[in-house]
Amino acid sequence: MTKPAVVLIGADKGGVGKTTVARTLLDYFADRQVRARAFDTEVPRGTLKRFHPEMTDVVDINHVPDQMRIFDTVNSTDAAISLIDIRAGLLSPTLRALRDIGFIDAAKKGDITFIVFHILGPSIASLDEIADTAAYLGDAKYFMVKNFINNTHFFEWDEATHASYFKRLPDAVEIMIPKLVEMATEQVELASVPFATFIDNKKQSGDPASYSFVLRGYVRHWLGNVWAEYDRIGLIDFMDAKEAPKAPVGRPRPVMKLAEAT
Amino acid sequence: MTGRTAPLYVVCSPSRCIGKTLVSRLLTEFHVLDDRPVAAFDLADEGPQLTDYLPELATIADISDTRGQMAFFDRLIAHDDGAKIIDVSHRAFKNFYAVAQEIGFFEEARRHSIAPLILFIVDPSPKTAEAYAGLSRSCTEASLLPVRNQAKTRAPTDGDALGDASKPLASLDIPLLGFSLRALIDRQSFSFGEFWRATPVGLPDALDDELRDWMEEVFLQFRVLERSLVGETMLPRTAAPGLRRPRRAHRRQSADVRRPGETSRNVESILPNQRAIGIPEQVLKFAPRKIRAIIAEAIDQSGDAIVAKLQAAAGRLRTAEDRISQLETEIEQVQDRADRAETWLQVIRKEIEEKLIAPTAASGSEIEDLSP
Repeated sequence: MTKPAVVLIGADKGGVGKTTVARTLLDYFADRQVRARAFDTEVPRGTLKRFHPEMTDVVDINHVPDQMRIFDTVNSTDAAISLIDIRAGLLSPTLRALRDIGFIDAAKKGDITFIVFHILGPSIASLDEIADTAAYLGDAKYFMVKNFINNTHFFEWDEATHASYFKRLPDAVEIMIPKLVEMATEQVELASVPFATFIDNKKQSGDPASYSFVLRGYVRHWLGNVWAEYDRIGLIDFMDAKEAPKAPVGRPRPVMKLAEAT
Repeated sequence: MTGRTAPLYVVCSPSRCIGKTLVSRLLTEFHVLDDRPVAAFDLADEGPQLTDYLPELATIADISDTRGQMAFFDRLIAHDDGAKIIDVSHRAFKNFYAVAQEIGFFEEARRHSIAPLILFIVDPSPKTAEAYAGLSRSCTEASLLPVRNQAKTRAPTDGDALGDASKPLASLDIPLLGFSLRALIDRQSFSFGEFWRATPVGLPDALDDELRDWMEEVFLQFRVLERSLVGETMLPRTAAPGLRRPRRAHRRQSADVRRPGETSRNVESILPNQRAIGIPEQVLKFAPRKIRAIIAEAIDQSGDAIVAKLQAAAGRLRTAEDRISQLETEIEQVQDRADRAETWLQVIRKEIEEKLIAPTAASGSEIEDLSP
């Protein structure tokens, strides 16, 4: 049987693109034919559920019954991956709760694959979050995500500062989400469909849509670059691995320069 | 959509003023003369541009922002069967291909039964060679054909800077055009279609013929290209568009090799392999036949020129011989006059000696005899 995996996506700050990264991951798993379920912690109405309604449940991560809905079913569900989009400010508390219920220890024993995508904010304050979360990570696969999707000038900190923080997490791997053309971002938001569905020119119902070919092209290209990042870190390999694959190179591919240049 | 393949021509070069708009105009009017649907798009940002020449057929497009790109590229893959022609200015060159590549335009075009062909106007600059090589590597879903435009600029030969990437066996060749005709076709009021249908007032026969031949040669190549791109069945079987007006002058005594319906040099004889085209090499397959046809055409033209020169030389020789004969006669007459003049001089000398010198000498003797 495939070892279950829990993927946490969070940040202590809002508006940094957690749900966007979650959506790209759900599209990625679907494309790679890995069955996934998702939990949206933005109660009462979650953004992730709007895009992936059939596989997403909205939960309150602070409520024990909801915690049970998620973590007690990790082994029994037919989904190989449980993806949790953590509401802003709840990443550290959630990690603490997972430690308290013994989830982190289960991950250490190798019963569960535990992956954390930490979406970094644009200020140096976000780096302090890294230190906070690191205390709870245990053997989790930890990815720090710079999300450029809506930003051209994102990180204020310089390389030296950046390096000093990253040294604290030697196994952490950096991922970059490139910029997507604003109009394409808006149109996908309006369409309220997964990125892959937008590219396929379909509505949520599966009926044909009439999205702009240009915008679909931009989304296709962008999503391809994002998925290339997930391939680079060997994300799929984590799902079924008995032991963690060798840590990938922490720097993104040159393709990301395209996003920075635009 | 009827399922037919429609051609899409991208006329481009990273260099300026080398005939992109001219080729776009010719292609557009070629379709108009065939009475077939065509839409032209003008990516130029300086005049004179395609919309200046064909305001009713061409549309200005601006792809500098996403909204403009949507208006432009979404229309290009719209479901209709008409040919589409894009005149890409040197300034829009880089952005056009960057966007096209990012959004997967040529792949999408293929999915919509559109056959894209990049007509890349070559020149000797290294920048052009580099751009050509780059396109040949990156635009694998579009056919790529070099255009050698002698009408506007010096197109490179094989030895020029185009390098290895310039070695495909075929090209679209825009022949040389005389200075006065170049000035004529550069006028914004000039229309190839109108010229084809009616003789412009005041245009000398020789120029009329020259331009007409030039257009026929270009249109012949367009026809071959189009058949390679979209197949044969949906296209007219004539080399040049219909509604042709009769020739006013016949510079060649031999048969008009490009007259439709005749078999010896008809376009049918230079048709390429008619397989559906999927990669650039397939476009280029017609090259040897086309080259043969063009060489034969060139030989005909050269032969005509040589005969005309020989005839002119013979005429000049005859004139010279007549002149020589005339001069010889004149020389004989002068010689005769000179002989007669000399005879007269002898007579006069004799008379002077007899009548003047001899008596004087005699009287002189008598005077000496009388002296003391």
